Amino acid sequence: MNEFLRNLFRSDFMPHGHCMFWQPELIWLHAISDGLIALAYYSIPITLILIVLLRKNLGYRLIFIMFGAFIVACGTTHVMNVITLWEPIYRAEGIVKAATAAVSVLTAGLLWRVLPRALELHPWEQLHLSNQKLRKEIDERRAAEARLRDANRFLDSVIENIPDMVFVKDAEELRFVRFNKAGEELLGYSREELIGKSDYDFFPRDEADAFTREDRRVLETGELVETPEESIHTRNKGVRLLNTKKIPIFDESGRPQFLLGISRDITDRKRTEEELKKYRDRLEDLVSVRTRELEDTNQKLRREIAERKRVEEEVRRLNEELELRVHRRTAQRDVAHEELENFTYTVSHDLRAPLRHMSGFLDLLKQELARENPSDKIQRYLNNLDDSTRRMNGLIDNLLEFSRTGRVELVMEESHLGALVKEIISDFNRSTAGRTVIWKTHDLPELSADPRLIRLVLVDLISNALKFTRTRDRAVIEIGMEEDEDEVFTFFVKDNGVGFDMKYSKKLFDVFQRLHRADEFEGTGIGLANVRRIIQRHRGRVWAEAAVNEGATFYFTLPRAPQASPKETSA
Amino acid sequence: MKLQHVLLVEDDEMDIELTLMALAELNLANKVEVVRDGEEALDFLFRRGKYKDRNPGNPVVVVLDLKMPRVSGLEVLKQIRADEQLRSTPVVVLTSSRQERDILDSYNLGVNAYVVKPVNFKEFVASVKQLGLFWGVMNEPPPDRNDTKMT
Repeated sequence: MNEFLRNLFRSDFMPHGHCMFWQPELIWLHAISDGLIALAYYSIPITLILIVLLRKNLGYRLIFIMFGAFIVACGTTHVMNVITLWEPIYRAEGIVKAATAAVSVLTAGLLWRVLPRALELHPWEQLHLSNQKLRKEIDERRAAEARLRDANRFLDSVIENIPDMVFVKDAEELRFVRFNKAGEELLGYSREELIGKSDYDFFPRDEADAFTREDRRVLETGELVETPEESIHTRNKGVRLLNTKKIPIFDESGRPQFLLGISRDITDRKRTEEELKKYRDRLEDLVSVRTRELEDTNQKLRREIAERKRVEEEVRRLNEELELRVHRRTAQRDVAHEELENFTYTVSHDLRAPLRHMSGFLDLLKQELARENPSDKIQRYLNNLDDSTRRMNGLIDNLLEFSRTGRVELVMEESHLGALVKEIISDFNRSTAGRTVIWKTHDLPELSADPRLIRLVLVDLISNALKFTRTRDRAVIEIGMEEDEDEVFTFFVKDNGVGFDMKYSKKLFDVFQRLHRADEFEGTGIGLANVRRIIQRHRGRVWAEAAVNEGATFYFTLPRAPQASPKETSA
Repeated sequence: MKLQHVLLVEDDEMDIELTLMALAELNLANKVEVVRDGEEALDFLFRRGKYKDRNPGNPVVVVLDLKMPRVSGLEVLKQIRADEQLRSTPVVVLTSSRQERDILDSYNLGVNAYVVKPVNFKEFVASVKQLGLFWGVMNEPPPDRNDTKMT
């Protein structure tokens, strides 16, 4: 052993400084560097030992110790490097190195082995982390609970405020577990009274039986059951009618856990419906009564209509007959008219011709006789013949005029009588020169008439007045209108002439009737007949009032309203 | 030889005499052809019957009475207006009738003038003279169609 040690420290080789040719700077560089490394290495294990000693619960002690040994070993190799600069004890150095190698390998192996465990966290660290996690979880759960509470409160308030009765029963014993406000109000029990009890505690047996039967059915079938109408005895509101829906509520395993019921109080609706029905029924009754009445009335009406139709038919038949008769009459009248027209034609043509001849040859005769100085007598005869032909001619003219006024259609228009009278007077004034005629005229109205024919009337009457006042020094002729509110206008022409005896007044308006001799007052006896005809065709009336030598007044009327049909039969 | 006559259609002898007397004062009397009714008038105008050999040509004017036996004046007027040769011959109605219907019918058939015979002789003479003067002397009759064709 001694020998071994001796050999170990035997300096039979060249010192390491020799390799550096003993260059002091190089030698010292190595020496100081290795020395410092060794010092540092030796100091590290001290801190490790302190940690191991001070941290009681430190894990991995072996690793710390091995690590300390490893660093001490490494430091020692550096010490050996310093020594071998001068003392070539390479054997000892080799031994140190070998020891260092062993320690290094062991430490490295240990480190690799410990690595997975070393990567794990230290227990207190873990505790801290899980604490944090727990706290977060607690917060989250609190928030969730709060949300849940809110949601529950919301659902509760929804259920609470549903205006229909909402109740929940447990599926086993059908005891109430929940009730809303509407339910309390309907049944008249508070939820404290209701919860935990069953239907049998509140309602008559038969009712409770019925409810229970429904409940069971719902729970067995697992389906919604609706009871459209059921009665329930309440505490304060008497018997009410409900429309109820019942729905099963299942637990997680799908077994019915609760029964949810919703009941609507339909008592009022039902009552209204019934009332409506009652009204409807009454209405129907009324309608059917009215219908019967109407049918009766209808039948009566039908009978009446049939009767009326019969009467109408009769009237129609009579009308037809009448029309036929009128037609026949009209035809007859037309024939008469035609005959009359032919007659007047003949008169106008055939009566005129001989008259013309008489006039012609009379004239020729006068010319012939003029040469032989005829006696006064002959002259007078000739003049008489002349007058006669002239009068005959006038007669024919008047007759034709008379016939014409009976035939022509009336042409009705607004006619101003005042203006007509003024015109006629001014025409007459030319032929009454030398006479004193005092005209008195009233304001005369406008009216609907045939102005041509009315003019003829006025001319006839005024010319008569002039004619029969010829013997008066002062002729006074008044043309006016009676101031009455009748349906007709009454006009008159009044004179202060010779007048006439009223006993002849009826004859006055007949054709060819004259009340004076031709040598007193000339005339054809047609003028007044013509006046009457024209006024009659206007649906008016003519008459006269007079006394001998005390003048005459001729009246005629005309309707105030326009005449509907101016067509009428003429006299 | 061209016919330059007035054709007087009149059934009444006295009217003929009086008319001719009036026309004589115009020296037209010898140029008046007188026929006594409508039928004769048509015979003359259409040159048939006893007039089939008369000289050709139309009268310068036809003076026509309306009321005549057998064929009336209106019928004569109608046939004149319907005939190609006679259509434009002037026709004057000279009648006693003042009937509106006669006047209207005459004008509807195309009469050239309508004169009512005045009853008073002096007026009658004056009317006939004016009529003769106007239609027989002053008025230029339409050219004779037969003539124009032949020349």
